[in-house]
Amino acid sequence: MMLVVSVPLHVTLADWGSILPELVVTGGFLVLLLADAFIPVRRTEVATGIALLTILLAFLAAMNLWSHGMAASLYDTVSSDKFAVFFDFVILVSAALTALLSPSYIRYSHFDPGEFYALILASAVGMMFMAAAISLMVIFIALELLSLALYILSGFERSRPESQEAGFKYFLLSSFASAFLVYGMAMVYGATGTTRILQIATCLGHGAGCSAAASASPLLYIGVGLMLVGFAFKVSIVPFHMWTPDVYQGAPTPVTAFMSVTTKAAVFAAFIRVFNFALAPIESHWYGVVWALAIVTMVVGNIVALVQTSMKRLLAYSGIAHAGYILVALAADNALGQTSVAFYFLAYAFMNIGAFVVVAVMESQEGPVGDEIASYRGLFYRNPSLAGATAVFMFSLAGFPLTAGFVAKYLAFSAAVQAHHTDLAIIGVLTSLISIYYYLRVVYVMLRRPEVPGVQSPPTPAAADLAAWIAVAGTIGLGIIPTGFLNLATQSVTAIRYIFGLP
Amino acid sequence: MPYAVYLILFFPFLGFVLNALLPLNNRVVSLVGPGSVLLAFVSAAYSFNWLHGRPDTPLGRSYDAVFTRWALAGPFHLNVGFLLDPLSSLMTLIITGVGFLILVYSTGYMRGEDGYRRFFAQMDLFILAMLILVLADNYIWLLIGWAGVGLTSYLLIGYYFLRPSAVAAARKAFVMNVIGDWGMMIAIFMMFVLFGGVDFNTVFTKVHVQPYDGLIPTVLALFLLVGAVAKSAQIPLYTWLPDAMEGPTPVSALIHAATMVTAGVYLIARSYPIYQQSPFALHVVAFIGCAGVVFAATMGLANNDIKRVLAYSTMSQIAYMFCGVGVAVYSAGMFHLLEHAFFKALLFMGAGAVMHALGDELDIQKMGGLRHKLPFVYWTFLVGVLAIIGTPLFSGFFSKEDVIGAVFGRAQSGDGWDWLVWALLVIGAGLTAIYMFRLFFLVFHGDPRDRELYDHAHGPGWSMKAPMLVLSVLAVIGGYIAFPGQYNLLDAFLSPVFARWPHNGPAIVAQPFSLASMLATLLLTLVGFLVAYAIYYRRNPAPQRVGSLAPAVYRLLYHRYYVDEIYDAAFVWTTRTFYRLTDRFFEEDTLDNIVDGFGVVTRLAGGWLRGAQTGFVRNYALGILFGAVLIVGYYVIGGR
Repeated sequence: MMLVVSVPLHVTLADWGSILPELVVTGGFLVLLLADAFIPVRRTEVATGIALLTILLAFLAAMNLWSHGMAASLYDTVSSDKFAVFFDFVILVSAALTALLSPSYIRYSHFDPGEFYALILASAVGMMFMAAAISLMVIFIALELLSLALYILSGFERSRPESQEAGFKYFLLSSFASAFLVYGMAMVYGATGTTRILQIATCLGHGAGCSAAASASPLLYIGVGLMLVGFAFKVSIVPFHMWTPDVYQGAPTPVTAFMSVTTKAAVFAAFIRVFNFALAPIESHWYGVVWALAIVTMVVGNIVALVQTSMKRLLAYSGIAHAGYILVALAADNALGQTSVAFYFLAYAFMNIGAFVVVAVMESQEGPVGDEIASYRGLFYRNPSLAGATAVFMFSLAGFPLTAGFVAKYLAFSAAVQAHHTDLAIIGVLTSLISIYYYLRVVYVMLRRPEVPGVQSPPTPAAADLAAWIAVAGTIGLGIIPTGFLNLATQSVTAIRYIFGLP
Repeated sequence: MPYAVYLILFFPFLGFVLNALLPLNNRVVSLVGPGSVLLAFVSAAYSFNWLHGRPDTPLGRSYDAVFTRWALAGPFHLNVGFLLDPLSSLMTLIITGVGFLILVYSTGYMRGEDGYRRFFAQMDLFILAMLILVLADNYIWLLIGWAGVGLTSYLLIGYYFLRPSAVAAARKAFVMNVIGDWGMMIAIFMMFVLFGGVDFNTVFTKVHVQPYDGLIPTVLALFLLVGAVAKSAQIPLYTWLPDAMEGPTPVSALIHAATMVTAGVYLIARSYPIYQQSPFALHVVAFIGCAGVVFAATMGLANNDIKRVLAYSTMSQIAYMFCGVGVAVYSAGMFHLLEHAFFKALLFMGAGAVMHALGDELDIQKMGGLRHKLPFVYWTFLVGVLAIIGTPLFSGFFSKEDVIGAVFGRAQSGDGWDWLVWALLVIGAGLTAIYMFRLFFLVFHGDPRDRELYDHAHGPGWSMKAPMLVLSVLAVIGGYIAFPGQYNLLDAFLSPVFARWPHNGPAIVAQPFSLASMLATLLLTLVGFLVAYAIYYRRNPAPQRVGSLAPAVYRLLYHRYYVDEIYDAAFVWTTRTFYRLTDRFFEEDTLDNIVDGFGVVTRLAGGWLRGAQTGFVRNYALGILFGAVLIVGYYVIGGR
């Protein structure tokens, strides 16, 4: 059978415009690499400034794209629909917060600032492409691009063996998982004859453009299973999660902060495009597996978090648990579920990076023990504003009302209820109940009287302080007045559903 | 520009944030605290003026400023919205105007106190919450303001938190107010279930469809009334108000006299479409009111604490307002609310000045003869007393006459019960004259009973005098916005509010003027004055001697009808006994073990699962492979 695919013969200016945010960040990446060699003084400040400027320009480009996006461009490989742009916002906001929390850590660990930010930006390009990809091939390339930069970043602290170990572990295991993903993609291609998401959906939905047997082919289902493994690894779904605590703990804290939010956001964006749109016609065939993965992830993530003594490992398990909640929303496979995923990552960007800002500040003030939860003892007396911010993030991660975390979790679970998956919602609520223990334990420890009374912490570095305040404002703002941002998320989902002909 | 309504809220918010978060020194705080409220007053006046310039129709005279859509849950949504109409506009003027004067007074009164900045931060927060309460366009935001004023009231009653009695009083006020919040919440839940919305427009449009005198409007109105009664310190949830006098005097003036405690009256007036559907609920409001007028006044007769006498008088005056709204002449209740804010704030400021002069002495039995030492306070206090007892041509006369005349008018066409209400109100007017002049004579006339206190008395400074002067002027002329039988500007101004939503109740109109009612009230007031004059003027009778005129009655009044003791026995003791028993026999042995058991098992599971985390890459890869085999196996075996 001949496959006839219509391809435009040349790339127009509009095509380039549709990836302008990615191009801007790529430009920033190149400038940083070059400039790194020529910055004579105040290297950290200048490099941070260039990174922030790049992010700001990319943000403006993304805002422009919000109303001028194209459903498909560059030979139908990337889309600049509002869904992609929304995730661009999330990734750029996270990158900006990371850039603000990094300088003190860069000085503390003697990093090369230009190289560090260049890699952050390179990884951000991969993430943005991943969120925009509408072809399995581009998804894979973007994933490799973002991962390669993150491998290096995880091992960036060369003087510390844990960091090197983290980088290497991440590299090995991630490559292993990527193999599953690409193999799965190949099989899906084999079954449907296309790698384009829209065409996979049409093929499986109406049997159009491919052989009628495609949706009955065992190739397809094995491919779906293998892709699931690949995606699940990247977003730390149990049992593919085991790298997460080791890498989160070993990697430099700003890197952990960045990757914990953005990797998940980018991969979940692609995850949704593939599973909720391309594979929507065979939802009944993947729902069971996703259902089981979500439950195991929520249970294991929350239970193991109970016994952690390191703040970064605690946040790693918390991240696993949150991946479980988000998977619940993905499993709902409805508009509300997709909206809630989008909103979830906006909320997560503020509360989770906020929590890592605290870790970074603690580490730069107290050395490696700053990662121990025990070292938070008496923080309310030593540094009330930092402790107050920590409390806000913990309450939000636990999902207390009036915080972003509550709204996000509420939306995710109500999507599950709307899709008649009440069991997932109930398990989600019960496991969040467990999570309250370990989140509030941090608050409790901070409130305990310090062992040495009367000692004040050194002042928080200005940039990190700003990052913490922005994160607090975002966490509380999204919790009290979620409406405006929820509207954006709804619009982004409406846009992508429109492309696929869904209401 | 209607957006000035946001500014009314913004300035107190700004004042609160600045005072609460920045380490300002006391001079800046003295500027930020009253200044922010003054700006809010200017915005409120501007909004009032803007509203007044709009067409005189129910819809023309109301503007719903929707700040943002807030909560969304399926088809239900809730706005952060503020309703500017004559009723809320009047309230914002009272709150910011009187609030500003009291904050200026506070800069003098609180000088040198610990926690000066905390005081002003909390006062600003109170004003913000109170403004949210009156400006909200739905019951949820009304409740948020409602709870906010409850919180700040709690904080400010407990301002001297090192004094156990202040802490106990704060707690009592909080618990009783939460009972009221509970009632409000039940009412709001009912609205949500019955009408599918909690904004005023939805509720008031749909409640009209309910049968007149039917069960649903009655139950709704009564649950709202629980909230109103608790907040406004009416029977039976009033015992917190006298104790609340533990707070600093400006707090008593602002929160526990002029604004917060009148919120119940506002709530009933605001919810008039609900009350209009239920004649029974309206009767309950009027009965609570008329009983409270006499009940509180009698307790004021035998109390020796200058602020508590004023607290009982507040309760009694609010009871008048309840009677006004209880006979569906809402403008009369609001009129008395307005005038009461002037003269009661003035009286509290006078009491504060006296306390200030005597080193925080509260016992009126130790005072006396202070008119020589504090002439300014004497004259302004006299204006307040004349206003509150309803001396003709003083403000209280017009508003009280409006309420009593309204009840009289309704009684003529009513079912007979209204005559009882009217009679008690007239008697209450007489009692008011007795206890207010008793207070006045004991404090300012006669000979000093505590020489040392008297000798050290000193007058207030200008920051305290100026607001008192302004309020005395208002306590005289504030009433001329209405003249019995001639004109009533306030009723005319408020009437669009009460014409906006349909109802089946009695027509909401001002009642015709009745000379007989006025003469009866004035006569009893005169008798009351003469009784007080005969007993207390110049003679300094010991309380025991006055008590011996009727020992049993005196003891009953002195102990405030033993209501506190009865509540303690009926509610506090039983609750405490119940929880002790359950704690001993249920909590410790059974529940604790179950709950701890869950925790222990979960942590054990965590420890066990952590064992899988070996740190070896080969094990992790095995985990991935294991998962992959499971998933692919599922598909291969045919789980599709």
